[in-house]
Amino acid sequence: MEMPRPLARAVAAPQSRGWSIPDSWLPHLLLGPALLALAAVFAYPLLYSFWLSLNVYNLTRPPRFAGLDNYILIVQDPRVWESFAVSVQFAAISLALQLGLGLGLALLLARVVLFRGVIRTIIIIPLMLTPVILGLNWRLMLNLDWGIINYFIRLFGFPAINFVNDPNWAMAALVLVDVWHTTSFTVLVLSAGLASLPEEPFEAASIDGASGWQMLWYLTLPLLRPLFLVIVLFRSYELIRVYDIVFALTGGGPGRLTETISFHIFNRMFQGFQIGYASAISYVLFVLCLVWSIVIIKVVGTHGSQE
Amino acid sequence: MHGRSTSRRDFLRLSALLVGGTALLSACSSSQPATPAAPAKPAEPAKPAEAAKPAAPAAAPAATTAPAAAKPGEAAKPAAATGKPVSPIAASGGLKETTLTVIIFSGPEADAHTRLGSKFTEYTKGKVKIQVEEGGRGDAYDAKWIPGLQAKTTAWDVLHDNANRFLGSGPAGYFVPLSTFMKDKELFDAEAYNNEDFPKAIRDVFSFEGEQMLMVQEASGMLFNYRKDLLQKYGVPEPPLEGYEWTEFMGHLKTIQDGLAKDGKTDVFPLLLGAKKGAHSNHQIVMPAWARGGEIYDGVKPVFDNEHMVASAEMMVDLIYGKKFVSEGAIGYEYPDVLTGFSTGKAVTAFQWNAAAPTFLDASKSPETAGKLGFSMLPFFKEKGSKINRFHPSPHGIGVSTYSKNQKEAFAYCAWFTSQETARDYVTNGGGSSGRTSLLTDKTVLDKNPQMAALNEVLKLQHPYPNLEQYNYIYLNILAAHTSAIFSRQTSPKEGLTKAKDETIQYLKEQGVKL
Repeated sequence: MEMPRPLARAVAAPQSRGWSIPDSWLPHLLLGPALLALAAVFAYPLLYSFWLSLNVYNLTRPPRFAGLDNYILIVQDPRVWESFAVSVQFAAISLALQLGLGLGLALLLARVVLFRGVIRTIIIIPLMLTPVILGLNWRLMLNLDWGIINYFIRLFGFPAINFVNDPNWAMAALVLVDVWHTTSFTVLVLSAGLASLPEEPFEAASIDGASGWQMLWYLTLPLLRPLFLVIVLFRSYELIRVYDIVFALTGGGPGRLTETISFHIFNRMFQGFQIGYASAISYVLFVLCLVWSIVIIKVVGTHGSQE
Repeated sequence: MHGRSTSRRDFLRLSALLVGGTALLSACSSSQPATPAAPAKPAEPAKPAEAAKPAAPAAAPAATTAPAAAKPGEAAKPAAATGKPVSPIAASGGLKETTLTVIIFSGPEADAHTRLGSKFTEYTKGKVKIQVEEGGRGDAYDAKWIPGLQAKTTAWDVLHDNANRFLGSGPAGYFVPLSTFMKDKELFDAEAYNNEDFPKAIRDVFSFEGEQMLMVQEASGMLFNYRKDLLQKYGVPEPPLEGYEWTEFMGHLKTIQDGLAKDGKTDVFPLLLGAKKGAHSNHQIVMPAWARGGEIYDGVKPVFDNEHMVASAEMMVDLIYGKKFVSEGAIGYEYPDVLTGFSTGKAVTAFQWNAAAPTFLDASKSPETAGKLGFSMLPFFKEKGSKINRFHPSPHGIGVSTYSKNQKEAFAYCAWFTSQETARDYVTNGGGSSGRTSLLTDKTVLDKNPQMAALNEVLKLQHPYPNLEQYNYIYLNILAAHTSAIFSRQTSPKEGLTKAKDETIQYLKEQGVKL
């Protein structure tokens, strides 16, 4: 019996008239407007500011092309490197504390059964606050004469501490405020990571008689490595370019002890009107941050892949 | 789907959806009109966001160093209001119909414009409306104002500026010289306005190359505030308007300190002042140095480490750490902290800006100090007397933007707002001090604002500044860093001021300034 061959009788589809767009073009075309907007508000200012960095440009005089003069001046300017060192010091201490504290809180949170959601919400409240408001509030709380922190310090019989203005304490005050503000970010990320860890390695380790500390050191931390990378990258960028809490809390003082690189750039730009020089410092900072990112990704990423 | 092309119809359909969606979103978002002139919150002189009361600036070429400056005690020429309109064409409705945008510091300065703007509309017979755009204060204002003017924005017609920023903005050409408009008799009645009512030193602050660019809206000064009740309690006589002599003042502070100790008031200090890094840490050293007859510049060359500056720095540090008349916390205090501390009774006397006085005098805001305060000038040194130019004023002005398309109207507004009649309103209601001598000595103003008598004297004794464009940056970033280090005892006064001088010289050389 001859099999029906419907397809044989099918009439070929007419060829479409006019043009048609390949599928591969469509995403690009649809993204076009957004990319144009991005180019206008991001790429253009970036390129323009790079151009400014090649000029000696003070508000009151027209710009004068100077090539790499600004960059050469930066290398010789001790104030730039002093403020960069302040930023690095602040970032390193703050990050270390946030990682340690964040991990501890995340591990504790993982063990909590009752009211975990409520506790988590309370932990992330500081993250929602504006840094400037935080800085101002903490400045009031840390006030030597009428701040609440010193009130309790005196109550316990100790001498009051001039947190914000004492050279020995000013950096500590900044770190305290930042750690209080952003540790919850670390807690959130690591909590999510802990919740997604596989159970089998821990069961196997438990059967083999591993202690809690051994499981933490040999299993938990290595498995969380990618998240640590994310935290270190994100936080280090934010810490290096911190401005708002410095402005609100210490004003860069006492002296220049807490004058971060962003603070220095801002002052050069908006008080000194040295637009070209400030742009150049920004680019130097950008390159240094880029190098740092590459190093971190290679070190942590490579180490992780080897394991 | 693999290999299937998107047809023209599909593409057009998708595009239409996108465009429609974008249009819908745009229609749903609200535009943001600038704040229209409307009854505003009560003018509150407290300036919480102001990081520092900036140094007054160098009056551009009109003033050089002290000898050429406003002579000590040079008074403005007050005159009674003539009753005539300061801008005849505006008052007769002859201006074109338009809306002016005023960009100004947030705070009491803006509040006055917001509150009074509608009155200008009435003044111009409905022709000119006012929109007030608050630009934040200090650095926040810079961050908005400078990029806008760099881009030659036409969005603003009237620009506000203060003394230290004018050092840069004056030469940058952002303002139209006022003489351009002042010679038009229909637009400006010089007699009715009486520009001479402002001390010359203040007008010079806003001048560039001999041309006045801004009209003075207000001028502040640091005053000596004292609790009459506590001075009386501890047997200390009240100071005269010119202030105490420093040696006498130290003796009084000791008497107060002993009295407080006897009363067990360990949390109250004889004196409260702000010495936070920035303008304040400088002012507390520089003003006493000027009172000693010292200078901080020789021409444009910094001489920060001269004997008068060193002596003043040593004296002020000793007040805090040696004699303990001032809390150690003061090295981190500025305007808001001194306002808070003094209004809550944490000090018997204070060095504080005049803008705080309305708060101190208001029983609802400061029950501890209301009705108990007196004001005088800061202490002076016997050798030089009280009539020496020894104060840092902080004037604010408004002017016409070079890029405005309504320059005539903008000028009329500036003239009207700073006229004696209008200024009386915001002087009385806490929007500023105006700077007009006639108002600062007016009985009705003084009854409500007793601090104006002292302020009037302070404004006559402003110290002029060098014609140095970099003055503001040097003052707030170089000298301030080192005076802050001195106050926090990271360095000695001599060493700190020498480092400040050396760093400034290096900076000026980099900027191409011939020393």
